[in-house]
Amino acid sequence: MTAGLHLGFPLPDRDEPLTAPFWDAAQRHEFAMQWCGSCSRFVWYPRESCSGCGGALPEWRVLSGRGALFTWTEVARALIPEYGGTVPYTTAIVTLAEDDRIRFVTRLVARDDDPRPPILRGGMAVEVTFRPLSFPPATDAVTAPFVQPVELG
Amino acid sequence: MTHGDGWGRAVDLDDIGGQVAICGIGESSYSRASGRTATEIALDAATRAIEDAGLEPSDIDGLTWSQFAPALTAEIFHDHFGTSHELFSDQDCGAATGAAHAPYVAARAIADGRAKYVLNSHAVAWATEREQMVGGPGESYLGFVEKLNLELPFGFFPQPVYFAAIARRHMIEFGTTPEQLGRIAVVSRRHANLTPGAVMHDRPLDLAGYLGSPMIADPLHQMDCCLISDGGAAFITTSRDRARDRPNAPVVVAGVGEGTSDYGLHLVEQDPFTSTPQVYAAPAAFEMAGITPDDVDVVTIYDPFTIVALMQLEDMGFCAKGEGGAFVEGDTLAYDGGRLPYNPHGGLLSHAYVLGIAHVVELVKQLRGVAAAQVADCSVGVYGGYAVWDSGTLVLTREDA
Ligand SMILES: [Zn+2]
Repeated sequence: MTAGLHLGFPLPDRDEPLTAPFWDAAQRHEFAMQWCGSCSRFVWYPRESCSGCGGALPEWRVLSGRGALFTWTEVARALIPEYGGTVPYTTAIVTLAEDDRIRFVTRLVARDDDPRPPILRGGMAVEVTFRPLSFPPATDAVTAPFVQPVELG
Repeated sequence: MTHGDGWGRAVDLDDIGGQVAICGIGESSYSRASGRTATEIALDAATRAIEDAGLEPSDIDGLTWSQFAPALTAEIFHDHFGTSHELFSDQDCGAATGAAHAPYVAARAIADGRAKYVLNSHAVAWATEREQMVGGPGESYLGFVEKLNLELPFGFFPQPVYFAAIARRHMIEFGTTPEQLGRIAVVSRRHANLTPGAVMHDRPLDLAGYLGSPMIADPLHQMDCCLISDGGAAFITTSRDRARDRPNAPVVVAGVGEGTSDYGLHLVEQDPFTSTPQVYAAPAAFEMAGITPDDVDVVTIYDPFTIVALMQLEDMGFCAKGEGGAFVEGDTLAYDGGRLPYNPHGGLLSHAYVLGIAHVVELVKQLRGVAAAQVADCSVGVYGGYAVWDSGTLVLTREDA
């Protein structure tokens, strides 16, 4: 582990208060973001206070997990040693059905019922799928909201 | 945070057009890991810039650098040159956007008598230090809790991944092709091959070689990504009058523009995703200089990745948004007869990754008429600097332009 980084890096730091509710929800297979009742909108990335109205953001609300593929890249080379057991992998940015201004960074994977590498195109429909995330050879794991294509093939 | 047309703004600057000129330039050697420190490299460059200007270290009464790479601070300057005089200083300069900002800071200090000769420098020893950096230059992003806990777990790190995602989106929106990105890599390499001292001087590259280079994060090949280098450079700004008494022809600071994004450091949030704050910086600089993009004889653009250069070519108004891919085809960017000679030293991609300070020094050489890959009849040069959340544009002209 690199000095100064949390145990388990690059897994999330589950003790980080700003992002812990997101990861706690994911362990329950829930895809949740902060909700501002005054602005009636989801707020992402998580913040101490709403960027729209400045109010506090105590509420986390579960989303559908549906969205559209905004962009992606298949990473071929491990750019930090910790990704060495994971490459090649596809990281993606997805806009969400509830608010297409929100861009969610995730990993894109094949469907369990169609394991062929998905053919990707901008704007295609994707949905959250909860998968174990670890960085082999390290064995620590968390459940993470990846996305998969909605349509088969 | 509002979305829509206005996603950033031009910074309000005083009109300093034509007030000051660059009278001295100096460079270290550029290399892969050299074992030297950034301070040793910066002092090399500064010493040569002072000599080039026909000055003594005691004449330098202003010093600017970047707080993110403080290789040559006032304390280090005095310690090395054995001086103790008062030095005006500013830490928001150096390279990237700061290399465009530095002449503006110098002009303001010179205008109100705080300094006569202001030396701006930038140096890095990132090739030497690389083994100690997490994700290389991406290390600085680890300080952001959101990136650390919501991007890195998904493999979204560091810069080659960010800019691969942007390149892919540019392809989705505008139909840009890998071959078009390759044109930028290939012309940069050709220019470096003509430039003694460029790190890739002896390494030719054609489009087939580009397309065959290893994929890092698709669509970005290795040859879409900048070098990691040791090196640095410096330049000295003074009043127009004083510059005329120096040994080399003055290069006039005709215009400066700065643009900033309302979306801060989080590239993912930036709307629109495929633009840079050059949208705001370049028009402001061109207005101050009284020029249009058509007047530009040579451009140097901050090019950590081919896609970053392509976006800035669009955003600075050299072509319409989305048409950058078609624009760079053919010989558009060639130093010898291209419509818009581009990075004639080879840029961050093929000259050295010294974050844009060498881009400004190259413009000065072009306008003096002494560059290695010299553009013919060169009288207006433009630098485009970039740092994700902000952009800077610098317009330089020949004294007789
Ligand atoms: Zn609100």
